[in-house]
Amino acid sequence: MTTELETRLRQVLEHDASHAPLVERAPDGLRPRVRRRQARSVAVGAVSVVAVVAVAFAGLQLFDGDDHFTPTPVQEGERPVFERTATIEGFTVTGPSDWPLVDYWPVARRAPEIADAVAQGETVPGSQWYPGAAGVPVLQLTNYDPGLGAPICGSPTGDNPFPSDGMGIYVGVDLGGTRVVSDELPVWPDTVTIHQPGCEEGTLMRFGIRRGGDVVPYLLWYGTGPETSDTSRAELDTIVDALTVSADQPEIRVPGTDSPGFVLWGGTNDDGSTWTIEARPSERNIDLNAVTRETDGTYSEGGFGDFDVPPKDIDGGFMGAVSEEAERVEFRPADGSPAAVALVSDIPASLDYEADAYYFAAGYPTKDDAFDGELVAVMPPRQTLDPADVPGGVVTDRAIIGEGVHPDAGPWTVEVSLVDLGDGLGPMPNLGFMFTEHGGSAGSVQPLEGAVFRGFGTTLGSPDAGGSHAPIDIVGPVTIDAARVEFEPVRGEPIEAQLFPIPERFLGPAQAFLVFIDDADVTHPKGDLVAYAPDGRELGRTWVGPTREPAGIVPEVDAVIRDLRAVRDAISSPPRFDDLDVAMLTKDTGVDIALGADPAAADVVVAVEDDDHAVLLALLPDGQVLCLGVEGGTNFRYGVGVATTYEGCGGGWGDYLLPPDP
Amino acid sequence: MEPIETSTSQDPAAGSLEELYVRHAPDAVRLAYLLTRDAALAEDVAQEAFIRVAGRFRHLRSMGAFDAYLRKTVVNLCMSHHRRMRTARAYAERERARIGGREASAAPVDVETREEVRAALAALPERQRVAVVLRFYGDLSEQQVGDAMGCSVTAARSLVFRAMETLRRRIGGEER
Repeated sequence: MTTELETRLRQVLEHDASHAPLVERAPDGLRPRVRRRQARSVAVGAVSVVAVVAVAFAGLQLFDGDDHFTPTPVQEGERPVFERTATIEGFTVTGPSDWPLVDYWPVARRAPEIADAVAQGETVPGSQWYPGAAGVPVLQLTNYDPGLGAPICGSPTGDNPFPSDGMGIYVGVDLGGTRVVSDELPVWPDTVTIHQPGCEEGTLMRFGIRRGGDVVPYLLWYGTGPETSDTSRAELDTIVDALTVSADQPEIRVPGTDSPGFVLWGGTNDDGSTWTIEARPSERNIDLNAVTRETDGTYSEGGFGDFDVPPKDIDGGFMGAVSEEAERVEFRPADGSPAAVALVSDIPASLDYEADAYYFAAGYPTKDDAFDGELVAVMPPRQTLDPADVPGGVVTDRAIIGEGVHPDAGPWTVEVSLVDLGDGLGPMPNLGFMFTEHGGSAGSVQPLEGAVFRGFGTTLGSPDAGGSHAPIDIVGPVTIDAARVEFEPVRGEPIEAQLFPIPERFLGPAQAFLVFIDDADVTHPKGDLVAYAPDGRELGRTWVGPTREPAGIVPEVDAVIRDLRAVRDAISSPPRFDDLDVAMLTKDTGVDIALGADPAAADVVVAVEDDDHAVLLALLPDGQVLCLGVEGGTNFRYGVGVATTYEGCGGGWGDYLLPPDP
Repeated sequence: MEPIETSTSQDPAAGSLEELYVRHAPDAVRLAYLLTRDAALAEDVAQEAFIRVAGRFRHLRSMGAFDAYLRKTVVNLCMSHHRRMRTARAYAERERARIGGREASAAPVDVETREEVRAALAALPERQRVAVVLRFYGDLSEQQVGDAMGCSVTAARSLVFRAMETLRRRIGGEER
């Protein structure tokens, strides 16, 4: 029933809304603004394709990668093994991540077929699954990849299902065989061990679980192959011992899908609900689903599928597919705060998809409107590049606008192209540079529309990575009014750029500049690009270097934040917490620094937690305290309030920072 | 990559970008105006929200949900704006107090009917106010309010309920 207050509220809101500005047409420059926004995402693909290089066109500037990360090469294409704990239909199992874990519970949706098969002593149609022995499968963990077909328990022949050194665990709802009457079953964690035809060569335990007023019978079977070592058997015993389930579970519910899936990651939410991320075959390659089981037993699912890897090197959202060659996956926030690093896992070989899966356990904005940054597959250095290979798009036009030969790195080309991304917004202009033998960079660019510069692309990382001896390149569009362009590095002599006209059909009136930095000591160029008119007048300049961090919300706050950042950078590169020389640090930074945890003791105080962690504190004029945690010189945490530990500093400075420039 | 969850709604990318803007922006501007009470800011917020969502066509989980994404982005941008302004105001007030100034006193609630409702709305905690605007101006369901605010339907229901309780007390006179 609508109350009088609700009616008055609606009237007032309607009335006030009528005073909102009218929208009669789209604002000028809407399309370029959307493109610039879009370029932040598109550059992700460009980065992964270009291999060497973190590309940063369209005003993205450089990725701030100079001191935040220490790449760890992946050995022989295999991802590191981690301990995976996942809960499937109430059963929590922990094991090595390279043991495929199968969530079989979705097949419970085929209950009528299962009942028929049990009654007739047959397999379920279309499968080798013998439910009379195996029951309705719930989960299976094996030390080899058996695929997603019939479970290991319940072979019609009763043969040992394992390869010689294989082993595994299986849990199912008991439907047949030498069934013990439900009300005689011991309730978990008590079990009885009974021989079971169809699940030979192992140990079978039966038990009941109370569900919705009934005791539901379950079976747990585990076994080994004929040549399994004692060490492996002990490992299996440990996993079986660690398997847990609550004896009281909600009523039986089934998920929305009816096919089993490999569980790649799992966990438990604060409210007791559990989740898994599962991989299944899809039409083109795989689906990745996040499956949540609520505390009342109901399921919800959602995810991504049919990934474009390859040709892309990464595709997805908070989870997705990534090239097996990628060193790691990162989400790099646009505000310059530390990148989130995703978990990466091998996909079981039986899915026949040559890619890995990634998942951000934290740090990835799950709300689309909060997405402000870049998803990056960090690739190993120096691979070759086909500049036409723009991820996710079709090249509709292209032209080589410049070429030459570098004395160390050999032939190179500068190319401009139009790429249709299939998003209905028309072709997107791209500018690419590549060494024929060493790869290069490519990324989207914008019409200059009167600007002198509008974005650029460059390489990051050692110019000698991979032994290429290729220089760093900086390339981008510049006004046709420029007669000369120079790169003025922070240190060293200016470097003159080469200029190449760009046909107007690509970008409107514009030319491209190209700078080579041959200094082997420079891995991350920092400086200004400057354009000059024919009469020597400066037309404009743009910064090349790590994205500048957002300023404080008012000048007084900004001053404190700048002090904190200066000290952060000074103690992080290289990290030096064990024997801090405060006098030297003060001299280096020009900031009044003291040791301790009293933020009033100096402009910035440094609380050393241990050899690897420190917390910086600074007092704002209004009495609030900003903290900045430093871990190993590579990871940082930001927060408000006095913290004395790295972990204790959190929550960000967001409210004290101006929004980053669009 | 194809989203697994799909929608049968009209493809929002159909037509030109400018047509899309004219179709969707008016609602976004009105919502932003009700949340900010600042016409210029409302236009800026609506434009920025549109650009963010349109720039991510290819990444939207459900292309048919353009309106919902846009609404959610408007709400987030307005709340982000309010949060920053609140921090700046609090900073200024603490500074004034520190140097001997006096805290600003709360303005009296207007007694005129419309002004009374408006003032009572403005005095609500921000999340409650956003929930009420979405619920009674946007005529959204509690589920949609929750989606727009990034909270559960239970939380959305609770926000609206508490807001209405507060409004009843402040405006007075109405029985539940």
